[in-house]
Amino acid sequence: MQQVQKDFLEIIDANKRIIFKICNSYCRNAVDREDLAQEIIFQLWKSWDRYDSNFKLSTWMYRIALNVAISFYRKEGKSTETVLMGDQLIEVAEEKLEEGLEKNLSALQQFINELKPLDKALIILYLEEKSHKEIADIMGITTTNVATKVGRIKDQLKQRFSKQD
Amino acid sequence: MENLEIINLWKQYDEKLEKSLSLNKKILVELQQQKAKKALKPARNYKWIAVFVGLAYIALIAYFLYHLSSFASIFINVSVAIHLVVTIIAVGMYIRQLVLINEIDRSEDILQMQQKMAKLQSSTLKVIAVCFLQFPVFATWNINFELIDKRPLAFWFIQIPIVALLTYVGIWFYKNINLKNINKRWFRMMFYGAEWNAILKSGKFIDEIKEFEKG
Repeated sequence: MQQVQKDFLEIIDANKRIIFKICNSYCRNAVDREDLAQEIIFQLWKSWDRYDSNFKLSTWMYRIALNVAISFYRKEGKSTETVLMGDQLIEVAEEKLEEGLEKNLSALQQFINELKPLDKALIILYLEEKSHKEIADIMGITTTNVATKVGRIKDQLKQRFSKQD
Repeated sequence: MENLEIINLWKQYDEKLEKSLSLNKKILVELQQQKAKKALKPARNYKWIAVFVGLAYIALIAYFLYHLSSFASIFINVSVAIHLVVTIIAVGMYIRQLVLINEIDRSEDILQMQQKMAKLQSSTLKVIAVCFLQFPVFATWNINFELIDKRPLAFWFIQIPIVALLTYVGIWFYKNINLKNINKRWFRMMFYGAEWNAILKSGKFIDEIKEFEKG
């Protein structure tokens, strides 16, 4: 295996949680999640030789992963042409948080699932603690706009949790 | 629940995933080597099929035009030529769309890339609109000088009004088949079905992007 392939595999391994979280936020069922995960990694690999190291790797990665996820979501989960049949790309072992946290997490995921595709991207980036500047770079909007939108979504989120309490 | 608690919840989710997720290296390597192609799900190549069928049709029309031109009437020749030109333009637009789709850069910012994709998708409507420009040829190919000389009333009061009507209808559709009319009844009746739904949704998504951009 060439070094470039190894480097890429390492980066994917280090960022597999991000890919999984994006897939989980844009797809409701496991088959679609698997298709989307493969498509994201395939597109990342296709663009890998064009990656300019002067830019932040995370910005590049989020842009591709979210662009692929939004396009996939708009096609309503129709599988793409790069999907391999058979084994699972991302294997998930049974792991539970404590009951209260699990309940809150499920409510948070439900909330994200109900958002429009662009708002989903925004809230994921916010939860990943990206700066407003980086969110603006990834989304292609101004930092002021990011602040307004994040504030609005946070208010909705608080309301959701206060109803739940 | 406060902001900090929500962020912490997300972090705990991240920690949970750190323990529970593993990547199947075999599939990763296959994706890299594009061995995938052998095990692909049926490729979505309808668009390329449409282009090949379109090109074959153009070749056929051109062949007939070339061989018929010497003995067919000027009206048939001009009608077939107009049909040929419009078909070439439509197939050309379709090929251009496919080239642009292949050139899409997914590492562009999300709004820019999604806007391009949605616009490309909705541009299929433009191809349909262009095809309507050939409407009048369906009433011009059968005109001949005998009709004009021997039955001038039929020519001036039946044939010409039909040509004029079809020209008007063709231009009207050319101008009106666009996303601005997406909610009109005639438009919905005309573009009905799964394939069109995706294109019509892209129009709504363009509006959603504009809304998102405004803040």
